[in-house]
Amino acid sequence: MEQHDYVGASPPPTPVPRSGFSFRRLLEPLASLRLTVILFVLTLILVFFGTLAQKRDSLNTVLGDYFYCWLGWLDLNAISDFTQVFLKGFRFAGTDEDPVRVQIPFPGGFLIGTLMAINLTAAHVVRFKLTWRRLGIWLLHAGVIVLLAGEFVRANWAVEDRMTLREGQTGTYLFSLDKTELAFLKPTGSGADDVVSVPGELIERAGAGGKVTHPDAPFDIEVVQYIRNSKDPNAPPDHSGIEPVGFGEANSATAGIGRAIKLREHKEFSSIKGEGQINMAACYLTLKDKSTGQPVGTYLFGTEIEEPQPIGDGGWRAAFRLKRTYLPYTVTAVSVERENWPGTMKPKEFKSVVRVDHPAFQESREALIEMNRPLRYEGRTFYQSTMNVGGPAKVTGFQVVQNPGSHIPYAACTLITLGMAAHFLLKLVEFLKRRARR
Amino acid sequence: MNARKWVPIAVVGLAAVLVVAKAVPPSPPSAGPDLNAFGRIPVQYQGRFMPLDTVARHHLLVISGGRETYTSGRDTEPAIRWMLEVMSGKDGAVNHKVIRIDSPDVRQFLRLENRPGSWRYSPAEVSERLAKQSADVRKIMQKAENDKPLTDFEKAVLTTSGHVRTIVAIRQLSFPGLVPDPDNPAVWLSPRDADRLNEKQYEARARREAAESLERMLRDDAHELEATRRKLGPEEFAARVEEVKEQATFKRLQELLDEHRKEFAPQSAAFHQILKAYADGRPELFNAAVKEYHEKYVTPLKGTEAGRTSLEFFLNRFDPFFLCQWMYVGVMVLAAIYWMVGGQTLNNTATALGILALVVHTGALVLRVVVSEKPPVTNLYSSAVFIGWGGLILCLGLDLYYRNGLGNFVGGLIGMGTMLVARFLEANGDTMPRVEAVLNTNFWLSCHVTLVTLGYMATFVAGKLAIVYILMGFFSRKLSADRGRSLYGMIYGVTCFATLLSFVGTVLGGFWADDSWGRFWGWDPKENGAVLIVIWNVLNLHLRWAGIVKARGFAIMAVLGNVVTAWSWFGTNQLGIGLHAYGFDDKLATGCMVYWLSQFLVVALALAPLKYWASFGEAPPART
Repeated sequence: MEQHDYVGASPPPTPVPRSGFSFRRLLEPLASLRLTVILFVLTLILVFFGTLAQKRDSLNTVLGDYFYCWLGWLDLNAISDFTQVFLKGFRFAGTDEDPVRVQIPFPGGFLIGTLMAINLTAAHVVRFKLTWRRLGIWLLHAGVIVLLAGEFVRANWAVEDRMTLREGQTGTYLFSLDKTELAFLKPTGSGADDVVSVPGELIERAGAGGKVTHPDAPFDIEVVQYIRNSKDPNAPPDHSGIEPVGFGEANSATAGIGRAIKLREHKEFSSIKGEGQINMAACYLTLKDKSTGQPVGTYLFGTEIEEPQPIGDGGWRAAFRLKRTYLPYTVTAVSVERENWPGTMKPKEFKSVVRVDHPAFQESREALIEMNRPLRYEGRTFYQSTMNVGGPAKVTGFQVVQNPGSHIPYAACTLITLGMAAHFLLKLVEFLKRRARR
Repeated sequence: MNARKWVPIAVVGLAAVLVVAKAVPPSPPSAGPDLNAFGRIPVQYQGRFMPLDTVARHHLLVISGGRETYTSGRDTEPAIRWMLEVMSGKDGAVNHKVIRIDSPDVRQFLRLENRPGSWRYSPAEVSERLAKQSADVRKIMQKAENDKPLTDFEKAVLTTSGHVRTIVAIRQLSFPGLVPDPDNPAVWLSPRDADRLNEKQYEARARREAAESLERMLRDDAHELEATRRKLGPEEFAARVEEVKEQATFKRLQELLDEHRKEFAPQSAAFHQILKAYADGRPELFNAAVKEYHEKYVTPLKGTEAGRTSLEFFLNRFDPFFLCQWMYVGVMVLAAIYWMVGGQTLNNTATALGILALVVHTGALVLRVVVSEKPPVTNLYSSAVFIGWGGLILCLGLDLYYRNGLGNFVGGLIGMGTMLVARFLEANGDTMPRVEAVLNTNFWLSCHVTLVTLGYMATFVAGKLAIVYILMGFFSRKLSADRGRSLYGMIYGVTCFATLLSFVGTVLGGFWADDSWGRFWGWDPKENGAVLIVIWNVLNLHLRWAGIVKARGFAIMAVLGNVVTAWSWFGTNQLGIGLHAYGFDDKLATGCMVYWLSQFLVVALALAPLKYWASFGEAPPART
């Protein structure tokens, strides 16, 4: 009988035992191919579960729990969401309404990515010689590190905002889809408002009973309740989560609009099924006078309540809203147009003509924004994102992106592709040579 | 000439003759209606131009659960005939058994007899039974309208009643679009809509004349009607009269429209003429009417988008993928026999037949690109067809190099498998649909879908080769050292290739996303699926480089690569409708599961100790 379980053509490098302490020896365990394999397996698990988790949670939550974090929280029972689809509704635990989470700590995307970069770098220091034969591998692995870095830059420094305009409307600010702020407003007399905003994350992080003080804010904040999402994800999109307060019902709000209406905690909008809808955060906050420490009242705020509410007697108003970024220029929607495939309601094209006015540059120009054809202006890129022409006014929405690392993936992918091509070509040449010799 | 040469030539020559015979357009029949000419009529449906034949095929396919033909008496008739029968309202059109009802619950609900095998029922039967259960059916419809979750039974009832409604809509000529809208010629109106646009001017007259004739009747037959009035009571009687009046008005309106259609919509009138000739059983009139229609309304379209539909008609009739499917079976069988009995002639024949299939397949792909003016991959159907094509090229190439029949076998297997998957997906509707604006063709997008699909393909090829390795080794003594080594080499080479393709394809998807909404990577399920394939392949390569796996381990990993690929290709779509999720079907979920289980079964076999492998026998190799 012959031996049948053949070993691969390129045997693994056998480590040469060396004596004494050296930097190299320190790096050896970090450079191990076994570590590489483990990291790949961890990535597979992370990506698979991070995909399943999107059935329940918003993309932001999933990014925070799985991909854009050092320590992740992996929901083992997300496997039930898999079996529910593929095994005729079978679940290990929980129901569709109450999915039951079994969260275990798991290395997050940042950690795995960093380890991969370290593993690769160490491998090159320890194992790979800088020769022409290895050129492809060098390029390829350098590209992988750059690619990981690019995603890290995007996760931490890219900003994605929105701008929504009715036809004819002029926009002065962008708003975020995933960040909120508590804005304190006071008229300055010249028609504009003085704005002091407290990031919503601070309020969320403080949690019930927590305190938030901000040097510029006119009031101190004590969190009574923070609500991640106040809108029922199963209700129709135009449905609001606002409900009237029942007669005699317990109510934590003592002032403002919260005495009449209430908002409750709902499940999150699923990244997969939410159809672009987002969580509507809300909170019950007790605002206190900064000098006396006396409470002014407990208010209900929410992104579903847009109108600022008057606070105390000092002329301040406050609104909890999607975080705004004011622009040094204005964007006006000149025309908003949706084109359908003939005889159907299927959209063929979305087009918006906008006018950009930049007073500082004394610039005023028109630009056409359509699918796959964004407007690049002043470091931001405006992409056609949403459009509603069914209502009384035509409304267009732009995704506005600012990403300092937007070119990194292109560089990375060029390196990797060149590397792979070079490597496979070199191998092919070797292979053909060997064959010719035989 | 020796047998080695002439056998392949003869076999392939025969197959080529069959292909050409199918491609040559048939001459018009000497007697009977010229259905081909009728099927070539261009229409507008779901936002694109297509021959009427395509509309007929799609609807019959959907309604009859996967057949493009129907049985009338002893004859098998094409879809276009069914469409013509229904449109013209010919006697007996409602009795063709075309509605397939698979659900036993629905059959019981409608008290339909069991027809094992076909499970097909006529619109007449089904609508009669549905009417009897109308209260229950209405309840289900309301539930669906309010977006309440539906049980499988309720979904099946809705599907069945939907089929009946579709047939009624065909009968009323409510679709497809046939006549350019006078106000907006880019949109074609259905004959029904063309009538609707103009019925206002005849409505008053129809109402008046119907009322007059009714009054006349009430007056003339006053004596007899008095008895009825007394029996029903005055209120019920008045209601009944009103009902009759409505019916008479409707009938009169149709008559008036038929009379005057020539004036307000001459093209629609010409179409009605065709239908009438058919309903009256006058084939010579039918053929003349169709010919006239073509001369007047179709010939002037030459050179426009609507004029290109004749190409699609050719594709429909030629049905190249059906031909390919059988050629792939041939390739597979020939390669398999070659292993068993040997003889290079057999394998040469397999290669030659594979090349012929490849030519037909390539031609069909090119035609589809020309007809749809889209890159080769736009939806699940086209991805299946494309994967089959890429797989065949790769496998034929492998076999031309190794000459051991394995490439041919796997190529035939993948070709046949993807053709079957495509046939199954065809039942979901148009295979060249218009896409949402966000998927509008863009350079990166075209490259992305093409390459990532080829990446899926290569991973599948590696996986199938690995299955051959495992099954051959386990069940037969054919896995000799030589063959085993070359198989391992093939799996490894294809995996390298798969890594390259899937990586570049995935990255191009990122470029597209960045170009479209400024986000290179969105962690969308479909993107994650693609990256899983990349990582899986990379993992497999590194396992080999690290010496952790050898041939068997590598093969096991490659088989699991099939699982990952199926997850990315079909599985992620089932999680819910995301941006990329271009298909949803309950049956697909079950199909995925069955496929995964089969792959796990192969892996389980492969994990059995080597002493149980037939190829390794009692003396296991030193190293496992």
